[in-house]
Amino acid sequence: MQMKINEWNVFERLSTQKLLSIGIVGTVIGSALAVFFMGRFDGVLDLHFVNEIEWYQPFVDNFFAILILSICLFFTAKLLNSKTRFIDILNSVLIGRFLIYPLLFANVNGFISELSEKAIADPMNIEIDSDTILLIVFGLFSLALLFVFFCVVYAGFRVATNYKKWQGLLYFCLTVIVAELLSLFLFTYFL
Amino acid sequence: MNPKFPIQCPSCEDTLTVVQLKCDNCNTQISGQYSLPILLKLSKEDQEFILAFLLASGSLKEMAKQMKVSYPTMRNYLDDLIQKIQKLNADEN
Repeated sequence: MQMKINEWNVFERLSTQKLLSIGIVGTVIGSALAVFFMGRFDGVLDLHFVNEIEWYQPFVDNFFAILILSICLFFTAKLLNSKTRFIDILNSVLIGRFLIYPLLFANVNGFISELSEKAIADPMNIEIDSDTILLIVFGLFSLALLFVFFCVVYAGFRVATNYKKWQGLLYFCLTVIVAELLSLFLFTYFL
Repeated sequence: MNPKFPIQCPSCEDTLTVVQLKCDNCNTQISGQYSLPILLKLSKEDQEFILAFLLASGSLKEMAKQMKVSYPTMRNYLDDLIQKIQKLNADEN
């Protein structure tokens, strides 16, 4: 018997163990890149560049960002389908976060940090030069990757819950927003 | 050629019923109105899934490995199939 599946959806095709292994390896690589490019994942959807960083900070950030989003999505998923497994939600989040890591490369030699600092220092007097255009391009690229991040995590969430109604997308988006707010609070006051 | 067992009317897509049965040995023919068993009302793909499920001793993990799909994909198919059977059951009663 051959099952009809969407070949592009890795959550339909790959085994749980394979997804988990790829996800963990990718997370370690992403965290190591964050140390190298001075990035902090201080929120579920956040990436900020800093001037000083300890080697362990991006690993801790990533761990809690993944955990918070996974727990929040699992809570919603359980309400939609009681058979949902935590491991499937965790895999969606681990794989989805791969979309955030390429943004780290934008900070080669502190490039984005410098540009953002300049823009923040005098926000009322921003000149439209090549640097500003690069910053805008980076912003747009970040938004595009964020959109793909949502699509990938939702694809995994949908497979994990088997919830086919359109309201599933609404619950998913609301949960991610709640997770983001919760992570901002936890990262600000406890981490 | 092994002809496909028809379960739906090609004209109006309603479920078909059996009206005649024949013994190949003595040519006895029985006429009547018999509804198809629920398993036969399922699509060929669903019937194959049930057979594969049985042959894998009910292990979705094993089936997922054999069919090269993820475990949740397999479980979702089973959940959808359960819903289909429940609906057919409800329609019958």
